[in-house]
Amino acid sequence: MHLYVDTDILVDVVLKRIDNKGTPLWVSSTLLLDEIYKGKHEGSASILSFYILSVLLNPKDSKSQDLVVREEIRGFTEFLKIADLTKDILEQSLNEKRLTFEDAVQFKTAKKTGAEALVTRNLHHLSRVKDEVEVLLPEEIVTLQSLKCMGPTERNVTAS
Amino acid sequence: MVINAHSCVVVRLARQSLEIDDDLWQLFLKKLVDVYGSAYASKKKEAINEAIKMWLDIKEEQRRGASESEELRKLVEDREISPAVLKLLGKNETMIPVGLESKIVAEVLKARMC
Repeated sequence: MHLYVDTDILVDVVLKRIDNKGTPLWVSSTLLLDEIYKGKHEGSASILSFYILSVLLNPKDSKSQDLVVREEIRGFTEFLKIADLTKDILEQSLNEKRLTFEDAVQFKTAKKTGAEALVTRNLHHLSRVKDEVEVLLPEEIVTLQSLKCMGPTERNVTAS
Repeated sequence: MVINAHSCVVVRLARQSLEIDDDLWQLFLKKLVDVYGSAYASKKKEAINEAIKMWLDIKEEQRRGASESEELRKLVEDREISPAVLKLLGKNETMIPVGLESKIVAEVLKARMC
């Protein structure tokens, strides 16, 4: 399956994200990236996501941390296809009224890559375009029985 | 402030004394008067029972949540995750509410401009 990976999934991993209840969201996102790395799925992401990651990982814009960030981003490019941000995507995003501009850029980039599904934690907003691309949580893709505790219930909580 | 509450276990009636922070107690009394017109004893008992029940529910949920979270973390240990993916994983867990990434980025960029 060709998956487009939204920024928040990458954030889960690089910042080892837990939610406000202490649930380790990073687990399923790490397992998902591992499945992509091992070739179980094809994965794409936007350059925009890497810019956001660079700001989150290097908030003070320090030179030493910049080197760490570059290495981190290079790591992702080993197994994720990086989608270009083009003028075409910009135009389409500006005309997409169902989503905010930032979400529209992700959605239009996902479509451009030909992804069958957009993996995100932002179901609440991106489900507005689910008629055009499948919108899924990482927990819905990572097929492990042990993840059942983060299954449909989590989807409802996140989407509410 | 020391108050008395009763707890009934089967047929035995036991009296429990507990201390409550003065500020919290005053706030509680004020709310009782606002809502009921007076600080009725029956309402105090009702409120304390409700508070204890809520506390028990929250603790139980936290215990269950912590156990599920540990189970999830163990998944990563049990599975042979590729070193290439593991090296991308942050060192320490960070609490970031879902959907707040953009706000954090905006704050960082604003701070950089100052």
